[in-house]
Amino acid sequence: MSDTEIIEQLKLGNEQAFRRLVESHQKLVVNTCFGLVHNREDAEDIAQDVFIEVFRNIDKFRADAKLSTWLYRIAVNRSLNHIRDNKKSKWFQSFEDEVGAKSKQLQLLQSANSDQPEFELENKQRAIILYEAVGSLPKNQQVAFTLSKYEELSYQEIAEIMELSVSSVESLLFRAKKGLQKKLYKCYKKKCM
Amino acid sequence: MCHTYRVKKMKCKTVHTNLIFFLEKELPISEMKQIQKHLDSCPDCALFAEEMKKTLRILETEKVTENNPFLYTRIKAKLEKQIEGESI
Repeated sequence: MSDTEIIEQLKLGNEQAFRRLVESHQKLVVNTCFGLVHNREDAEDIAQDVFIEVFRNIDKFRADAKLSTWLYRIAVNRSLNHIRDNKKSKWFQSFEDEVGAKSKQLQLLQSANSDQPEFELENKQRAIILYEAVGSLPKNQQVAFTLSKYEELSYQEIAEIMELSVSSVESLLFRAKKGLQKKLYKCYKKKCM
Repeated sequence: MCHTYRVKKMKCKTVHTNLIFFLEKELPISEMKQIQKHLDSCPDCALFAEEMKKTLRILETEKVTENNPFLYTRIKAKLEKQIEGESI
């Protein structure tokens, strides 16, 4: 089923079309959500809400728009809302404090589970550092970075999703990488990686 | 010696601020070569470059590559629960 057929059938309430939508676009939605919230379970929870929102609002979908663009936008918005709702208790924690706190948790887990290979723990440590660094970027930069790295979208595609110009997207990605670079270097100097 | 140290230090700083673009292969060829040359002769920067490479690789390894076969069932159950809740 093509996206056009899926949309037509969804408008008629066809359940098979809805199943097809989920099957064919699940990775897109979950990856986008994961790129922003960095937690697999949360990403899948948000993904469920994304598909439900599409199902319930399919009549509002414009025929000239791309289904994937719509899905990306809903996934981004819902993920950002999730981050905002969960971040209220963390306003005053710096990037270094967050990395330190999560590294400590990981070390506790490590001492409780000595069977885990060292490289796996090292990768988990790196993931903490990376996600905190990405998560500390301004929201627009996070979104552009996620769409570029997790979904490998072009500047043009990202511009359509974010409703920005291509040059704005280029600028966002440049600043995101600069910011990320700075945080990772700071971490490296403090020997947290 | 001080002058050489100062020159080397400056180059390291330049490398640090451009390393991510080097690793992403987003620099002009001449700059790529300059940075590679520096990394070949500076163990500190080479080590940081290696650490950054490994950290950025997480982005690749953490991507979802397969569908969760249970996701549709969960979506359907959640949707039905919502509709049920609305009709009460």
